[in-house]
Amino acid sequence: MNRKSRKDIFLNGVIFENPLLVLALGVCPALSVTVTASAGLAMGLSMLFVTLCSCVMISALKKVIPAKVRIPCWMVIIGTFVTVARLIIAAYIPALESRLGVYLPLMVVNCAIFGRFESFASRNSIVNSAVDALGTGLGYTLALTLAGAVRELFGSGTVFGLPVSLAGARPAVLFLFAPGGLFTLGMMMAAANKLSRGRAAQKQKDRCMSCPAGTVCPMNGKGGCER
Amino acid sequence: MADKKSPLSAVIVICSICLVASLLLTLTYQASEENVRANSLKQEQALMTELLPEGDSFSQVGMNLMEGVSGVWKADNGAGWIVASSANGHQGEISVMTGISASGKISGVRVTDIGGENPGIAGRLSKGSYLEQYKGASGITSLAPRSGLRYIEAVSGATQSSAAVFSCVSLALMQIQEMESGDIE
Repeated sequence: MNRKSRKDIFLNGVIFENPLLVLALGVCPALSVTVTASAGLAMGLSMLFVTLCSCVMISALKKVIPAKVRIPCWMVIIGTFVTVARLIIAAYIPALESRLGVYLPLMVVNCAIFGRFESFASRNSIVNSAVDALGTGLGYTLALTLAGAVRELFGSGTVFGLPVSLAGARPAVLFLFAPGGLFTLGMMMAAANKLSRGRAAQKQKDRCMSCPAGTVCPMNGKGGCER
Repeated sequence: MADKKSPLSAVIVICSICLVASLLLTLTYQASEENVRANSLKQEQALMTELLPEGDSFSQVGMNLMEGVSGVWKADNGAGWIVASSANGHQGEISVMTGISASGKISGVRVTDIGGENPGIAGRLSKGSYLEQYKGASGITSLAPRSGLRYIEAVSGATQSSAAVFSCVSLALMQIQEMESGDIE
């Protein structure tokens, strides 16, 4: 991983290891928040901020934090940044706070962020970790915004609150519920796989680097556990 | 990652991280506290002025609040009242603020919190003309038109959320009627 250029690391996070569309991590908040495009964008940007700050911090402290207590240490660090983000949002963008609701504080246990800690930030330099966090955060933001736009379009007939004509068809409320969310995400995953000509699905096979159980798994680096 | 460290060093590391984290949080809290408080006050006053445009500033009154009513504010110039009330919808509690003029007519209704309701569905209450139906009424009914009372039509597909808003506004009207008849300030 260290030999990869920073551009590769960045693109890896945005496309080939997109947390939502390729690794299928962080699906819970994605299903709940993406009923509108703007909420998806807001959630994605908050996540980008938290991932960036905590990945840099964890990368800086990687030699200090003992492996046995890494999870509680990471939780304190990520909890701190999530609370900082919450306070900043409440102070300067109050409308956003009510829109994100409980999913903002729940970011503390978001597996998409933990996946980056385990697979990248705790093993790489500060700059590389920052680039990786930016890529992953941006990939998650794009996926959430797109999912939100699709669900808002077919569920409410608007995108970012602006009315969009559905050629006479009436909006289907199902898109605003969890089944519609799962359907939308499933279709987006299929499209991501098609657009990357199967490289996304291939990446899922040898994903030890991004597997949350990466360090403790006996098959780490060897592959084969997917069977 | 540091692997061969004694348990004591693990304790020291985690305690130090917690200390630094609490320091950072204290600083952020102190820096944002004033803004957060000013924001909520500003939002509250702006919403009240929107609901009762004749009122200039509002102060909270409220003794003998009915069940479901969380607050009553009176316009300082005597233009009317603002009532905050809540009722159960389909999946959660919906909170509503109602502006009632001094003559007892509804001047505006706003859904302030949809609780656990689906934002896509309960959000439709605030988008269309549903809330507009309440304006100008001094008595409301949701089942059938009755003389002297205004008939409120629910939003299709969000019937239970509409009913919750209806209950909230009814509560607000009853609260003000009760307060005025009891002459409580």
